[in-house]
Amino acid sequence: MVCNCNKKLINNTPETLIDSKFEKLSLDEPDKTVIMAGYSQFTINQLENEIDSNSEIGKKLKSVEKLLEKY
Amino acid sequence: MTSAKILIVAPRKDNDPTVHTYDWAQKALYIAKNLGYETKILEKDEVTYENVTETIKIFKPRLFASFSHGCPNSLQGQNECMVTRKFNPSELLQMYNSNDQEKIDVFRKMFNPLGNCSTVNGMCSLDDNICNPLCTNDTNINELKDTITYATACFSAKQLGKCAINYGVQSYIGFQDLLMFPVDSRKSQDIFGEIQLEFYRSLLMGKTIKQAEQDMIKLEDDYIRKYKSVKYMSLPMLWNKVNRRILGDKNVSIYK
Repeated sequence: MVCNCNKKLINNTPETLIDSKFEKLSLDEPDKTVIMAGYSQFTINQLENEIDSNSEIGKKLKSVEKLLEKY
Repeated sequence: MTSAKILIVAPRKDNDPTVHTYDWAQKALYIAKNLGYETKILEKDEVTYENVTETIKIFKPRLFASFSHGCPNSLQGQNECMVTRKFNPSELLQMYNSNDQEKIDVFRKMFNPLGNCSTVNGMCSLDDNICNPLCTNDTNINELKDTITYATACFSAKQLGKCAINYGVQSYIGFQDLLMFPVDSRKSQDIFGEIQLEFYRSLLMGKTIKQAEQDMIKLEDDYIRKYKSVKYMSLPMLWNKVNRRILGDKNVSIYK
């Protein structure tokens, strides 16, 4: 299964800023890397879908994503 | 001089976030023992309501550290809630009749724990946050009076934490929403554990809650900056930071 977000994120990743250990972290295997959240676990694809569909969790994630800009 | 006692609880189930929080708890145990604290750990099947309640009463920890699942009203043991506050019928009725969406939400979660869980590839959507089955055990959060309670668990700061302060817990550190962390072959989860343990370590070094919080935020911010462009590192990190709550007295230390 292809993850569109994967390409988008890889392209935005300046690898020099990241430990080589984490270069591809969470980006290269969108169906294998999971995000643990309570009793649930999401693949990156699924969380991206939550954000895109503006679900309850998606909205919350978007608002936190905005805060990331301050860093 | 009697050293402060530390009680760590660490349930663990396969294919569950507790696989990782259990590892964090083992590191917490190592740190505490290394610093000379009298430390006890309840793990896996030992983490029952009865065991936790009795151990708190007998061992009298100064710091109670839970690495577990959590819900707004309880911390979860291996198969049941282990620290909770029981609602009486009139409170439940008030919640049911409330106009406050949050109270209605808590009520709904207690009686319909899986919400409108929709499965996608066997995973649940978070449109309705997954909560524990209804906890019917009696209140035992009062047994943690005078402790610092550090809950590496989802949701518990939302209600249980506030209740804990009312029952005399000096400081309650937890999350008001989900605790999130990625898990992959590169063990990125270890960094999230490191952040959680930074606060714990500082506290055990004798710093106040406020100072320990600052230490954790510094490490957290460093990592967020470092991995800013790796979305599913920085986003869950910032998510956890935003949803962390420190309730009660921030000026206390493990030595009071």
